[in-house]
Amino acid sequence: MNPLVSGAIWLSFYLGIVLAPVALLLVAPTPPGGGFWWDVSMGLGFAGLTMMAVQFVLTARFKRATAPFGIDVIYAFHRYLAYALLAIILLHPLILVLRDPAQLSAIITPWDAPLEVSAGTASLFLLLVIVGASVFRKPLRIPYEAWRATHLFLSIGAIGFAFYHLWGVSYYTEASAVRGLWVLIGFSIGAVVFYVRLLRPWRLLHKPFRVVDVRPELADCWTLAVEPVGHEGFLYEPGQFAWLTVDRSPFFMQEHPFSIASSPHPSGRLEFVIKELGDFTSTVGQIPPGTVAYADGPYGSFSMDRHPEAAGYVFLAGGIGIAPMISMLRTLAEREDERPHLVFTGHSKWDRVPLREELSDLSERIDLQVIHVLEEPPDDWDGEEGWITAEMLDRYLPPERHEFHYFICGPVPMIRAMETFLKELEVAPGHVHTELFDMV
Amino acid sequence: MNRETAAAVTALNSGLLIFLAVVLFALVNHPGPTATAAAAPWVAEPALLDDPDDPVDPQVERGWGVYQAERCSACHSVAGQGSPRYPLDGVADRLSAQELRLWVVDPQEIRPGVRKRPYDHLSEEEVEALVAFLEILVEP
Repeated sequence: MNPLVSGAIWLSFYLGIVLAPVALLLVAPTPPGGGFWWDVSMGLGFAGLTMMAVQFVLTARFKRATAPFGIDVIYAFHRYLAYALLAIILLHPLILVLRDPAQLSAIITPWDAPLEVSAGTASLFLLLVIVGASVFRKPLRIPYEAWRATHLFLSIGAIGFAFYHLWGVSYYTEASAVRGLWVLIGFSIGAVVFYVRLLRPWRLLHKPFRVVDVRPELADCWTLAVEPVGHEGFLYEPGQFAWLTVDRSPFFMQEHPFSIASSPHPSGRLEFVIKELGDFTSTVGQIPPGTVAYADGPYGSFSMDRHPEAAGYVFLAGGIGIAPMISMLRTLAEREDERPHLVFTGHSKWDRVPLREELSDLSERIDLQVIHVLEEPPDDWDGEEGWITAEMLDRYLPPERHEFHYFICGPVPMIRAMETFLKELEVAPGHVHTELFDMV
Repeated sequence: MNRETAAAVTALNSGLLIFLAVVLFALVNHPGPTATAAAAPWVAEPALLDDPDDPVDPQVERGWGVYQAERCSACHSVAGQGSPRYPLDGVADRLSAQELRLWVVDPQEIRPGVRKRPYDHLSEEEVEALVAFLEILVEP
């Protein structure tokens, strides 16, 4: 199905769920309304709580539901929705206080307020901590693993307090239909958390992989290869990614998303190209072969196989953004593809270009032109210098460029720049594909 | 439009749409409280407390002070002011002075299991003043 159509269907579904408890109040027998602003505040509280609930579903990684869009964009949606729900939930008490300033004391002295009111305050406080820690994770130097675990537990705390608040205050929830709907929402969240945190890890546990090869690449990168043990692994489209757990139980949430760099192989073997960035990635070089690993995948929509009609492919890679590209290029070489393709890479120095030998080999096997752009080229460099520019793209791209498909992966500013350049070159937006790998 | 922007625009517009839907709900939901305690117009207009032509019983005024100090409006409303969850307009038509007193100091006694905390830390005088204030809340 067209991603736009299925997007519109999912979005109406989302709005329907979020607004269901408010809409039900119009038909279920309820106490008399409390006036316009009171009702706005209550409605925002209810909608905010269902928005919190759906946040759990958005990151539950349902493969079929997220397949049309790519799960990376669903995570981005989750992130931006958090701002919207924070605004909506902040307005809920704010309106009450503006309407009646006496209510302020219940918020600023929660130890003096009824328990159900303080639960609401606690939920709001946790929500601020959750959003703050996510937005400022890097400046605050919170390690990814620690952030991840606390994000889950704080979120469960925030929604738990919010439900206690709803139940305790129980204004507009007397009608049994309304009560029933809230119970259903509460149980659904419980079921999603159970599925994602217990059932799925338990299933992964029964489909283990084993590390079979760890070899160094240029520029502090490592190739990590894993093979399934006692099962067939999974099929994927070249360019997709998986969440990888190494030497830990899948229950411990120590997984990291990595692009699969290998071409799909019948043995189920997966290769990842991982750059040392100071966290888990810096330990990859020390992983001994034989170590147990778990791979949850495939995810993502960043694949040439979704656009087989292209006249050729152009890959624009910044830094380790080459990983999903190499998967597609290896696949093209195996399929003995005859179309023309181009790869642009952006790097600082010549010895910081990972996989440059393999790119060179690939360019001899298929019709592939490799353009390395170096910021600090060696003295004898006769290639491109500086950054990838629109002028440079214009110079290399063949006349039938409008029938090509473009894949961009790299740091966010690089992705933005490439999108702008391709727009200037009048490449249709539907031909430009990106991977938002920098999730938090 | 790139995918990240698309996600941002969709998410923020969804938030806006949800806000507007809630506003619509508030517009079509039942109107606000209409019952006003004509006996205590100074609840809505505190300036009326100082009106020399219409003096307020000092005991009632003191009770109104206790009502405010104890932040009763967190759960109750009078003349549309405060939380509409438990409006007190016309409460004196429904309850006797003794019942009002019990509701303040020992609500479990009058309705076991009710979710309302006892205000048993109030002095005798404060309770009596509060009851005096509640007693004027009759429907016109």
